[in-house]
Amino acid sequence: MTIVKCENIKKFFPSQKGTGLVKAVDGVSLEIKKGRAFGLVGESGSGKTTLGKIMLGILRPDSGKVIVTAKRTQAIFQDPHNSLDPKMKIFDIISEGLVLKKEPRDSIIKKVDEALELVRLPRNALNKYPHQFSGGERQRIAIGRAVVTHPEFIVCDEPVSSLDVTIQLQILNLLKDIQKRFSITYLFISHDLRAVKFICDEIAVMREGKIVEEGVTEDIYFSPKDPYTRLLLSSILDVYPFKT
Amino acid sequence: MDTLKINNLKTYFHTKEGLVKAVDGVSFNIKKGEVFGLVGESGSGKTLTALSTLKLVPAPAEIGGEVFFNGADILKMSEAYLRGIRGSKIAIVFQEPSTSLDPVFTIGYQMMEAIYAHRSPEDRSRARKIVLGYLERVHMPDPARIFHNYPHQLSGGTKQRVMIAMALINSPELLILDEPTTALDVTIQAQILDLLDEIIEKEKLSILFISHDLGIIARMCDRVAVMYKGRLVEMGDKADILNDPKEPYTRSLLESVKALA
Repeated sequence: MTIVKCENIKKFFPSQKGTGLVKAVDGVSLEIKKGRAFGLVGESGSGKTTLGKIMLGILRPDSGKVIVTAKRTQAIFQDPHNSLDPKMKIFDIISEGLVLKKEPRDSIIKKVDEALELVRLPRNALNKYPHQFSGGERQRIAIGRAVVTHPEFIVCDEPVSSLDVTIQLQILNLLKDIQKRFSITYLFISHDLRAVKFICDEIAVMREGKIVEEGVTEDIYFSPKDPYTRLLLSSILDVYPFKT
Repeated sequence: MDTLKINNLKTYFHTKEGLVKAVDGVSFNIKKGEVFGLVGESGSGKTLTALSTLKLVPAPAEIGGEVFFNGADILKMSEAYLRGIRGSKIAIVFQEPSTSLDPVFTIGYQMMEAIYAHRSPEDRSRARKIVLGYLERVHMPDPARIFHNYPHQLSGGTKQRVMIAMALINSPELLILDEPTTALDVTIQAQILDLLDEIIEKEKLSILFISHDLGIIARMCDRVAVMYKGRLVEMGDKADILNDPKEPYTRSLLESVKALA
């Protein structure tokens, strides 16, 4: 079953100089199957975030068709400093989606508790404010806010890019667990092929608004066809095994 | 011969919440021509170590210990004397080229300033030529155009090339690179690291290379120190640290990288 289907999506923006158009997304077609983690990898300016926003319905494509059949869609963004309202307590941040749906109070409290346990934050977190947490904890809060509504589809846009590598691994493990446990469909956007490989079943490589290569993770990672994918892979600096 | 020798460096801040020991008794040395890597996660004190080395930490910070540059203690030097060293004998390249460059001046103007600040009248009179030479040196495709460009007209990678050219322009003996490629895409990062390789090869500079990325440290450095909570928890040859880490913190760092590889 397909959760997201994009057909020849185009989205152009006026360029900064005002003289031309930036082709942020330039004819992208793709399909994301239910329960799959789909990776979108590319460098800055490749159009991956714009495409994610189109799937979220935040942006409207200039042309093409997007069909999202997921009942509930959520998003997790890169920078948990900007994506959490500094004036809201954690309880209010996580519960906001439920409050908007006018859920009864006791059901809200129960679901917030479950979400909190899922992202492994202590109960006393609920009465605190975002600035009292580290970057990794804040990203847990953002994940809690996303999963509390039991979404079928989550767009994760660079969810670990601003974190230290030890914390990255914790958050990636958490995202992977949640994805498998609840069979949530992911669109996982990242510039980092390693993070994408860790999470995703399929990968699309994006460059200048177009998808240059698409396939199952192992094929992309171990036998890339496109020269750009190869360049991206060769730019990864290995530590292990370290050879002198 | 050590270009830089740091003994028991301490940088403390007095805050409302109490004393913060940002750098807490750090000692290491960088031999002439050596690339020394300082690796650690955010908040570990890497950047403050670099800034303390140049006595660039603003008051009310308290700096203690000794920082010998070619045998003379930087922490005991006068401000006026230090100004003659910063940007000439010791140069530094920061992570964010967009905030390192002044948005209202052209690249050429900003690079010529570095020459006016440190060079002889003779060199000053041919500053423009020197600048163009250094832009070429970092493989800028069109130096004459870049010279007249403003920072916002350049990409991140090009700006970082400018920063490197500017750091080299007064022939420093010690170059501090503080996360020089962290803000860049991986393919651009690879280009900048190639450029740095070439410079290291040619100039025989002593380099303090700061990074959170063990991959970069593995590619670029000779010796490595691992920093955690203001202290150096482990130090040694790159191969020893990466292949056989002794400290639990270094191990956990390497295991995270390995899990993602």
